[in-house]
Amino acid sequence: MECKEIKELAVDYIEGSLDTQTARKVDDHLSSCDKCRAEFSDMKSVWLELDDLEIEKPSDNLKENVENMIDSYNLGMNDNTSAKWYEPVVKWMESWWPKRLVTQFAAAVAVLVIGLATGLNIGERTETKKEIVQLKTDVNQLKQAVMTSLLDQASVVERIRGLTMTSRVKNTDKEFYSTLLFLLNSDSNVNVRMAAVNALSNFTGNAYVRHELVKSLDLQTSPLVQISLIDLLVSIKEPESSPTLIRLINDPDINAHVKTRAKKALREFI
Amino acid sequence: MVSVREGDTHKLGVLFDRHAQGLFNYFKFQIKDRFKSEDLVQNVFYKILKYRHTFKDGADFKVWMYAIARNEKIDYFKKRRPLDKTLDFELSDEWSQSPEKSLEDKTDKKHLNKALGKISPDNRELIVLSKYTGLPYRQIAELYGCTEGAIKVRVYRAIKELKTQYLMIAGR
Repeated sequence: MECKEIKELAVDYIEGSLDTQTARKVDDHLSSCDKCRAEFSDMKSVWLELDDLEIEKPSDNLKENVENMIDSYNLGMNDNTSAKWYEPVVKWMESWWPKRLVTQFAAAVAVLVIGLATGLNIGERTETKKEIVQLKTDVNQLKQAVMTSLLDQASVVERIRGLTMTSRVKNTDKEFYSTLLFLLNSDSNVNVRMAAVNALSNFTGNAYVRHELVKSLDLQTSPLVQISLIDLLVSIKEPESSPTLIRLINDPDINAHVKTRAKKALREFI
Repeated sequence: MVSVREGDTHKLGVLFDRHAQGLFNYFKFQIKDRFKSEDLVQNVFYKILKYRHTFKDGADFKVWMYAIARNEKIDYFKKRRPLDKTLDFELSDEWSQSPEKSLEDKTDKKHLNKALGKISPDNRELIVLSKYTGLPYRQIAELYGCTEGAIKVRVYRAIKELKTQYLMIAGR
């Protein structure tokens, strides 16, 4: 047996999965070849010791998150099946596309010329407003990037990163607030919901946000999120909170610490 | 997997129960961060759902799934910021913090963990795939697009590098 063959058999030899005859051939080679013997020494013990390294188990949250992801995916998929209204429009537009290559080329040139002419015309008019447009674009890009990270990321880390970026977004609107509130009320991960409370604390100047924060207190199940929401509502002195706080105090299923915090908060409003 | 592809997406839960531990080991032993590893496992199942129509009849599901996992790992290392890289280094001893039977045993495992962190990423991946995912060499070979013999030689070289690092760290 040659050194090259030994290398192919080495893993099986170390793991003890070779048949007796082949294992004996490897043994014979090792007793006569110093180089291979030196290579093989200690390899078996290192390989077997890898079996004793600690194997961690993934947390129960992972399974819950994956199940939630499957449910959300199914919901999205069902929505998509009804969203095919545009197909006839696309077909109608396709029917207008010229069949001959020469005509296609001519149409492309015409579109290019019209585009250039229009572009130059608009360019002249907007020259003076260039800086403002640039600033607006930057702001919109930031907002777009944040929204995308919140809605499209399957990763918890990315969603939290997106939420911490929201304080820098300037041109907020209802759609933006709804995205944050959606995460606060529906995200499967408690850390993301906590980050959503923090993010929303920057926008409590908006009446819609304040109203939805109070509503959210009724929806939350995690004591951590409930306490942060109560603290936020106290800090902004939201009078609408009182009925919800009373409901929490009287609810037998609510965590004792949350109740204590709710009682303390209620005193601030009375 | 065929049922998942045909639209019974809730069967993905069964696949999760079967393969989550192996996938988690695959990421955890390479990126050393428990939470990021769980995130990446979730990403793999998301991709399985999203690209389920590309799974071909007669294909090996585990090979297909680990091909997705490998891409996730590559993307993760590409996107990682310099700060995270320093953190990895600081966390490199984190694997060996469980109580062990004896001091010597603990030290050996600590050295082995360190050695595993020091070898080349390609060799580390091969060792992790062979030891902690339950993939037989035939499937690892299919994943790498080479023969079973070739993969065994590569695993042999990986063990050799691990042994060298281990002996160096242990000062033997």
